[in-house]
Amino acid sequence: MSGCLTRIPLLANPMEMNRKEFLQTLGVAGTAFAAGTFDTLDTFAQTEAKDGPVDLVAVMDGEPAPMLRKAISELGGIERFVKKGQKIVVKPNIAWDQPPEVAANTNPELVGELVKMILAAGAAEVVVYDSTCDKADKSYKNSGVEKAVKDAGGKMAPADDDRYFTEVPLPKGVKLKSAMIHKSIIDCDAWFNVPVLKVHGGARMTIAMKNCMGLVSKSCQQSFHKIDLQQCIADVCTYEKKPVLNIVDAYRILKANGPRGKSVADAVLVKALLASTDIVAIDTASTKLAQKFTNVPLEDVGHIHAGQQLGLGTTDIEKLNVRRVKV
Amino acid sequence: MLKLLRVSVALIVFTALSALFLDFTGTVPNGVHWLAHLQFVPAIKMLPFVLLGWLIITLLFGRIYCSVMCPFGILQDGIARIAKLIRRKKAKYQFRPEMYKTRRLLLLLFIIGIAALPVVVSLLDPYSNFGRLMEFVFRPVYLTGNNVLAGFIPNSFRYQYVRVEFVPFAVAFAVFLFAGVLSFFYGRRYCNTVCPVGTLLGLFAKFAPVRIRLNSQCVSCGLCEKVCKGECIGSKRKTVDVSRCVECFNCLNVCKQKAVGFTYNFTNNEPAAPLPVKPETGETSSAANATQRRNFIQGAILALFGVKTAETFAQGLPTGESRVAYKNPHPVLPPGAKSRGHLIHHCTACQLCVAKCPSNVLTPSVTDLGIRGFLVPVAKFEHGFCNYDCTICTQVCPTAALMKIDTVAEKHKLQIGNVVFLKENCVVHTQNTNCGACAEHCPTGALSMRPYGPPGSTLTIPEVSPDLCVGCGACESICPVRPYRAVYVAGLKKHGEAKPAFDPNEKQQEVQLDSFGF
Repeated sequence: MSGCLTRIPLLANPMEMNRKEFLQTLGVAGTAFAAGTFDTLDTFAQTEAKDGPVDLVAVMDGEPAPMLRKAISELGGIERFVKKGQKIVVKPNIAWDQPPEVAANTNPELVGELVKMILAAGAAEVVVYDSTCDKADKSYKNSGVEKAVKDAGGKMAPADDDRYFTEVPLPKGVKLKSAMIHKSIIDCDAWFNVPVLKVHGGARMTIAMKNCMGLVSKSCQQSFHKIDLQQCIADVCTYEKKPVLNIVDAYRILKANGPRGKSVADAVLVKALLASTDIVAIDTASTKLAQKFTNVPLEDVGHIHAGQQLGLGTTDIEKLNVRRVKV
Repeated sequence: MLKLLRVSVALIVFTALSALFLDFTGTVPNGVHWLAHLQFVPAIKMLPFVLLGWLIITLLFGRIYCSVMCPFGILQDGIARIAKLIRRKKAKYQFRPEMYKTRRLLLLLFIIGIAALPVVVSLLDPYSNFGRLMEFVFRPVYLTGNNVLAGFIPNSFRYQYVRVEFVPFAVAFAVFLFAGVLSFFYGRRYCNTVCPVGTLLGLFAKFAPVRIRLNSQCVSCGLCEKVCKGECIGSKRKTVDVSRCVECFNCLNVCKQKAVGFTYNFTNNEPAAPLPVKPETGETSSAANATQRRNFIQGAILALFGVKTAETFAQGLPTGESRVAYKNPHPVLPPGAKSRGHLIHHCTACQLCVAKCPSNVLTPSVTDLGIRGFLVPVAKFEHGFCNYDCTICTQVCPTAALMKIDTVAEKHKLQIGNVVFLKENCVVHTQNTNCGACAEHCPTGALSMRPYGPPGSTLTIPEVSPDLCVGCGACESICPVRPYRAVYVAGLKKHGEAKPAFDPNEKQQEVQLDSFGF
C-alpha cells in the first residue's frame, strides 16, 4: 500500500490531479475502508464522500497519537506529504512555559508521533522549533515537546535570537512587506504547521494562521503588533513556502485566558484533532469547534477573513471534501 | 605538601565560583552557590556562624580564607603566577613594611559601611569585586566567544544575548586593573593594603599559634623572602608579619636550611616591629588614576564589540509611536528584596543573581537606587520579564538581600510591582488595530482584553486588575509601542501581596463531543 502511495504527488491543489492518480487515491481509501478502519463513518451524516482528495479531516474520541494516525490515513497517508530524503520542519506552538495540561502548547504526544511518522516515511531529518514568548529553554522543556521530539528521533532547533532568522520579502503581504523567517523553514523541503486550538486576547483565536507568527523572530513578531496584528498574521501566511499540512491539536482546547492560560481549569479536555491542507478552512472549522466552549464569533477573528481575501484558502467549509471520523 | 593542598583547594574553589558566574547552560549545579555563602563579607550579612568559623580558623591558623576561599585573592595568585612566567626580569618579592595607616583607615571605613554605608562595603568586598568582574567583564567576553562559535558550529553552540553596561563595566574593570597590576608586580599587595577583609583577618592572625615561623637555623639567605607574595618575610631580621601572611606556603619549599615551618608554638616570641624602610611614594594612587583612564578606552572598545540588540528589526517602523511620556516612580526591586531599605542594606552587589537570572531581567542600578544602592540589582523589563515560576535569584543570593522564596506558590503571591496602562499610547486606541500582546503574556490575568470601540467593532483593549498583578513585567517587555510603552510596571518601595490568580484546586472540564460544530 505504501508503494502505491509514494507515487501520489503532493495534492495541495486537487485540480492538478489526473484521472489515474484520482483512481489510485480512491483505491487507497477503498482498501482502508474494506479493512474496517472507517468503522464509525456512519455516525456522521455529513461524511458522504465528495469527489477528489480529502481537504479536511476532523477526528474525535481518541488519544493524540491514534487521532493523528487516523487523520493522516484519511488524507492519503504520510507519503502524500513527505518524500524520501527530505528535510522536514514541524512547527508546533510551544510558545509558553506551561505544562501540556494547560493546553497553552501543542500536545507533546501529537508532535512526537508526527515526527516518528515523518521519519518512518523516509525523511532525512525532522527539525522542530518555535519562536517562543516565554524563555525558549523553559518552554521547550516544560511543554514536554523537547523530550517527545528527541525520543522520536527529531531535532529541536533554537529560535531565540535574530541570528537564526533571515529576512525574506512578502510580495503579497498587504501591510507586512517582509519578515524574518526562521532559517530551518527557509532550508527545509516541506513543513508541517501543528498549532493547538486556543482563544487569544488580541487575535481572538490562535490556530493555524496565528501559529505562522512563530515562523518569525521575536522582534519581528513585535512589529506585527505595532502595525496591525490581524493583517500581519494573514500577510505572513502568504510566505511562498506554505505548510504541506496543518494539524490542529484539539485534544485540549484552551477556552479562557488564552493564549497563555493560567491553570488547567482554563482548558477543556475535548479529544479532537483536525487536519487540512487549507489553512483558512481549518481555522474556520476550529473556531466553530471552539465555539462549543467559548463565545468568539468567526467574524471577530480578523486574520481568517484577511486570509480568505488574500486567497490563502476558504472559509466556506461546505464546499470542501470534509471527513468527520471517530478513532 | 601544604602548598599542593593550598593550590588544589584554591583551584577548585576558583573554578567552581567562576563557572557558577559564567555558566548559562545550566551545567553547573546550583548547589555551588554555597561557596558564595561561605564568603566572608556575605557571611556578615547572612550567616553569622560562617563568620565565626572563619574568625576561629584565622585565630588558629592565620589567613587561610585569603589563600583558599577568596576568589579575588586566588585570581591575584593566578596573575602573580603568570607574571612569574612572562616577566623578563623574574618576579622577586621583597619585604616591605605594611601601609599601616591605609589599612586601618580602610578597615574603619568598612566598619562604618557595615553600619551605615552599604556601598562602601560592596566596593571593598573582595568576593563582590570578583563577582562584578565575572559578570561585567568576563561574561560578555565569554558569551561573545560562544556566539562566534555558534556561528561556526550551530549544532553545539547557541547564540546568547550579550549585555555590556558601561558604568558597571568601568567600575569592575578599574578594580581589576588596579588589583591586577599590583599582583603582577607585588603579589598580594592589594590584599595587604586595600582589602578590609585582609586587614581584619590579619588582626586575628596575629594571635594564631600555628603560623609561618623562622627558626634559629635561618641564615638570612633571603630565598623565602623572594617568593613571599605577602611581602611579609623579613629574612635579614628573621621576622614574619603574620598579619599579612596569606598562607601561600611558597616559603616552605624553597628553604634549604629547613628553617621555615608552618608550626605550632605556645609562646609568641617573635619580634613584631618591622624594619624602618623609606616612606611610601604614593605610587599606587597614581597607578589607580592611570588604570581608570585606561578602562574608559577599554570599555568603549568592548561596548562596540559583538553586541547585538534584539530590537533592530522592530525599530524604524513608522507606526506604534507613543504619545504620553511617563517616569517610573520607583525602580522594581527583585523578588525577595522585601523593601528598598532591606535590599540596599544587605546587598553587596556581587551580581550572582544578575548572572543567574535566566531572563536578563536583573540589572545593576547605576542611579535608580541612589548612591547608597550603587550596582545593587533592580528588575528591568526591556529585554525580558521575570519568569512566573522562577525563584533562582533568591536561591543563590549569599547575603539574604533577596530572601529565599521556597515555593512557586509563594512566588505567585509576591507582588514586586504594579501594572500601569496608558490607553493614550496603546495601538488599539491610536491605530484601531488588534494587539493584546500584554494580556497575552500576562500570567495572572492582571491584564485582560475587553471589547473596545463602537458597537460592532471587533477590537479589544487591555483592562487592568492591579490586585492580581505580580509585577513580572511580561506586559511591559512585549508592548510594541516606543519610545514610551503603553503598559509598564511601576515599582514598589515595599513588596506587596497579589491576589491568587487562580484556584489551584479547580479541575479541568472533560466533555464528550457529539459533533464538531461545523
